Amino acid sequence: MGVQIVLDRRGDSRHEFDVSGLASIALAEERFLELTGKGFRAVALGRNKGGELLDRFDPTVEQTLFIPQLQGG
Amino acid sequence: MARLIDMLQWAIRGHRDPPSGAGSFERAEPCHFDGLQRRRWARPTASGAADARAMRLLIENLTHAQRDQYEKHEYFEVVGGETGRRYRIRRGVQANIEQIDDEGRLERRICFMPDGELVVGDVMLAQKLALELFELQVLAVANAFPPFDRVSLFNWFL
Repeated sequence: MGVQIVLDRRGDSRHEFDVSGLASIALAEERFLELTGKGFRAVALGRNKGGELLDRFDPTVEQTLFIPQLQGG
Repeated sequence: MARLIDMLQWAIRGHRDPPSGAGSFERAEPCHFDGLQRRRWARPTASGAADARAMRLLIENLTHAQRDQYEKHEYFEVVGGETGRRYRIRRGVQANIEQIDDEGRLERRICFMPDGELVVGDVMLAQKLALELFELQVLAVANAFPPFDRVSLFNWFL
């Protein structure tokens, strides 16, 4: 099972997907493309100690965190 | 004199980088980095559930050393993934990042945050990952301030 975690006002929203189901993976990829298209950064949590920036959808990543666009304060 | 004015503008208004001569200042909404403003921006009105959820996610993604630091001091340190600089992320959502030197002394304050009025834990997690994974990109949009606040600058100037 993979999970996509989107940071939002509620803390986060989690979307699980079945890594063995094609339809489920397609939906997860669609969400990935939609969010990154809006400027979110995708980070594979737990990889390389802290995390790894993802520039494309990877269904083997267990936890993907989506960070909204960053701005100067 | 022009250099002094540049420095003062940088200190008062905030800017992405320190002036290196005749700088231009375009940032319209600088950080408020004194203690009062930091407390105001801590968003204490966020729902307890969202706050707790975000803090749990943050803690899960800290190293043991960072967790210990955070428990003791309400800040943790990260190393910039591209420059190796050290940053201290304090509890807060704005003006809560400090760049420090090898001795842990404050070099400058940095301000950036994610869009969307996120709760404290989420903001801190986003800041940590940004500095570790795409440091230079985020510094390009961040505002930076000298290591003193407006009150001490005013006192110093007098």
